[in-house]
Amino acid sequence: MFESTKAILPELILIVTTFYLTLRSASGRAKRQSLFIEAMVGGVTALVFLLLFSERYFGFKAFYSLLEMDKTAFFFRVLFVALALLVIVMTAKSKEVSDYLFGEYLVLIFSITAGMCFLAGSIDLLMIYFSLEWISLSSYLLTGFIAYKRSASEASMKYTLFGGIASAVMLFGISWLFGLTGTLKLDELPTAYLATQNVMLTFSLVLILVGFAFKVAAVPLHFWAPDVYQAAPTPVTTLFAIGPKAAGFVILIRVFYYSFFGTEEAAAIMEPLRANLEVIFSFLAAITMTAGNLLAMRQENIKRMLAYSSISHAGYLLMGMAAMSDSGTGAMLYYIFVYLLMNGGAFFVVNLIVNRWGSEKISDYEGMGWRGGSHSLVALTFSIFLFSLAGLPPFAGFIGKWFIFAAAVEKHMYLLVMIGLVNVVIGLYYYARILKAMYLSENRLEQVPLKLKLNEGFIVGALSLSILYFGIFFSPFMGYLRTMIP
Amino acid sequence: MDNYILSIITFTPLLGAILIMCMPSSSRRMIQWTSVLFTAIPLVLSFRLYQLFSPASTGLNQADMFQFVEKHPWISSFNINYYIGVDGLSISMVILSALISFIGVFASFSIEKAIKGYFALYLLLATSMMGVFVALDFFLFYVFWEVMLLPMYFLIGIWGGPRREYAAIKFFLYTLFGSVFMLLVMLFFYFSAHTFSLVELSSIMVSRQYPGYLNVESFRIAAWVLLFVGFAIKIPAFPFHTWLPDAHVEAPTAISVILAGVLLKMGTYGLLRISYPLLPAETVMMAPYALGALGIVNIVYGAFVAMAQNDLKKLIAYSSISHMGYVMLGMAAFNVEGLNGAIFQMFNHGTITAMLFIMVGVIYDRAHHRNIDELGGLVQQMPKYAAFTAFAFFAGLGLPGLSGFISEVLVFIGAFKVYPLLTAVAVSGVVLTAAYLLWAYMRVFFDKLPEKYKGYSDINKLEMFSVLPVAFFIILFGVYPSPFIKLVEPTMAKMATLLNEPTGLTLNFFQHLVNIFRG
Repeated sequence: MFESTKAILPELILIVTTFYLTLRSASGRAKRQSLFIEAMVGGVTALVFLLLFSERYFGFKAFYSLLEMDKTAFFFRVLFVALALLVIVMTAKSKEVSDYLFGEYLVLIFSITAGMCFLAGSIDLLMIYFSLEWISLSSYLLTGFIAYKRSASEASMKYTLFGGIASAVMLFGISWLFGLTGTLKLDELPTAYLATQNVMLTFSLVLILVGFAFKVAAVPLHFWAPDVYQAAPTPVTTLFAIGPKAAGFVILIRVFYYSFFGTEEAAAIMEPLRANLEVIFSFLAAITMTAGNLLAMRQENIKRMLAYSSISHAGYLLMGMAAMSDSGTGAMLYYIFVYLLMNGGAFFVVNLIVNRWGSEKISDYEGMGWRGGSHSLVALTFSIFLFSLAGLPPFAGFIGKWFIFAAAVEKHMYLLVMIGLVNVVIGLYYYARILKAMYLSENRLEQVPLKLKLNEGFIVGALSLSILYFGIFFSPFMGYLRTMIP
Repeated sequence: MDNYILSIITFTPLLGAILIMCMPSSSRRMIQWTSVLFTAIPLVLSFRLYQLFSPASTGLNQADMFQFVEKHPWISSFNINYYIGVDGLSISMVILSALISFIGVFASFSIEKAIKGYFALYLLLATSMMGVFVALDFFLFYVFWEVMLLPMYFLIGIWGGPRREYAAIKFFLYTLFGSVFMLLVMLFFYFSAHTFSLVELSSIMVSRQYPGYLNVESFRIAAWVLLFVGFAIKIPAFPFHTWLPDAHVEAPTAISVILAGVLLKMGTYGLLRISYPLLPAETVMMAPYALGALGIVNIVYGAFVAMAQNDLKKLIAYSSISHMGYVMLGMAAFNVEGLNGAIFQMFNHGTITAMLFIMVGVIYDRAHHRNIDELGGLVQQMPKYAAFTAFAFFAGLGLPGLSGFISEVLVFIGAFKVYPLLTAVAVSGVVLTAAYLLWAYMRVFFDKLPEKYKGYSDINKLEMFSVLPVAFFIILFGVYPSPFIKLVEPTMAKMATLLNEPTGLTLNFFQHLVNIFRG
């Protein structure tokens, strides 16, 4: 038990910080600046512990095989904590979150991060359900965080209702599964499947899939996403667009790939299911990316556009899932990492503009590339993020897509790849709309000068340079990611 | 240095772009002359390359027949290399690309708006174009091919004419649509043959020992068609040509020069570098229709549409479509004369159209419009300009003694052996070309000079200097084409033998079509 506790030390630090911040904000007198510093200290400590002491617990099953903080979990936990830090930095001076509520806000951020970290290591369906609910509850609150905003309350309500139903369906599936097989441990599923051979087992897997698909906002379970993304404070949107989505994917990978096809014995048992899963995921991937892209084309609100764009990116990721292979999974891991860089960067810029100009309209970006100084830098880095999202070389987004498409071609899914490629072209169209506004438009809107602070400049610069770096020298990192797959 | 000469040629402009990014935007002269310097170096080095190049080597499917090869592993898990080199096919395009990039800088001197960004993007464009022509790795080729779109989008979209936003996005989406399918073909080849090296792939495919799924005939045909769509959009071949007039009309002069001079050649170069050596049997089956018949359509249709144009730039844009038809026709002949003619026509069209566009740019800078019916009598006001334009127009219509004539004749000789009837139709294109060019010349330069054009200055020294290098090549290759022919002939002879081997295909195209749709 003590050993297990040590394995989740970073999560414990996050939870302790959560409670600490709750008390601090309850006292009501904490200054925003000091809360920010304390939160950063908590987050960075968790990250340091994660980086230093994780390796010892690879392969160790904690809490009677509820959690396994293996390499995959390690990768995602680092990603989640780094994302949380980015989000906190983004909110440090944000006008969307008032000083009065900043403490509660941080509490929710830490809570959701801890939930995501637990989810990354879950190898038991009960633990998965528990962590997913943990994430969901925090998300519902974060969505409606700006309580006076009507749209936020509405989105939060929508999210809660949809999310509640999706969880209920998933729980229903899990209970079927437990009733039929008597186990919830992921690694025991294949043998239980062999012993049971009941058609309801497949049915229960589909129900479980519904819950996961809801989290990654796959079409047709995406309806909550645009409203939530638009209404939530921009840093929270950043978090939602990356965090829970990545969490959904790690659990998709764990349940439907690692546990079913991770070992040779399991793969031999689950082989009959492989074709079905490939078809289901291919179908989900195709409609998710196409619908996401088509709906993004006409959006005027940049947050809403990026929301639809993130739906389409979930489609590309599902394509990696559809390949049901090591290369597909490796491609997904790489894509999720790159997605953090580029989408995080894009939302960082949007957040800057929202706070400086109070605008979320694409038309307000007009002429941004021409106003010199900070504007030019922001516009330039934003273009890099957008080109990377569109998937053009030499940026990392291209390599991410390249690996995904390669995995699908390897499995001879030509039709799916064709659909994906057409989607790349559609995607470019709406990303180019923002570029057009920034550079091509004749309008030169007079806005408040955009003075970039040193740390903000550093973050956008570092993100765009790393996108360039991982677009050219990606080989070693990809090699490292491939070692995570059992 | 000679070992790395290709890398230096390719990446020197990129270095220049980075330097320019660091300069203050007020130092206009410095930025302009830095661009001149960083395009002059590749030009000088490309002549050095020509000197060192031994024309006996044939390239294509033999790795040891490439020269100035550099090969470094890039992505080991996918067996992707930074693999560049030249053979007779690519060296001509390397020289063309260096030459056009160089003269394009002078044509850009009149740019006023944000010149720092302009020249940085221009030099990035130069690097990516050169990269396409030297890459011998499919992945590397694709990366350069796509990178080229970024600067082009901005160069048309920011510095273009009134409808530039539309033209830029149309160009961007059209070309991307064509090239994404190249990605699919590339992956298909990789997962069958486990290499991205174009040379290795070619030697595998030429041996007719098809690995993996490449063994399925219909898949190979599908791959050919997908590649063709990508390249045809770039050429542009007949039904895919609609982006070109828009892009040309809206682009600034120098970008039109690059677009017509180099970018269009990438389509035919891609076919010759990838489709022909990798899928020779399929090429023999498909190209007579896809390149031969469409080539004729390009020639005749392009010429007729050019005749109806009132905008001088649009006229030349359509004349480009018509002239690229000759390249396609020559390529479809599968014999050494036709292939030689095709490559020679690619080079000559590059130099001639570059000159034509610069000439149009000269009058546009003065009159701020290009409408043929508003112009007239300019020969009285700008005699030197009239002489230069006459030279360019005559080169364009294939006057004997100028380079365009030789390449068209070679194409016709090659094509006549195979398609006598089609060639007869194609020859009518020569007459049509003469008609629309001379008619346009007459309307612009003769008749009465309108009052408002009095006081226009004649062509200045800078403009004259910027066309001199291309004019030199137009005359040189018009009277003495053999240096060029000697350069490309061994490679093309090899290509012709590859194409004339038995194809081993059993089904016709429609049966394949049925197969593909059945899955």
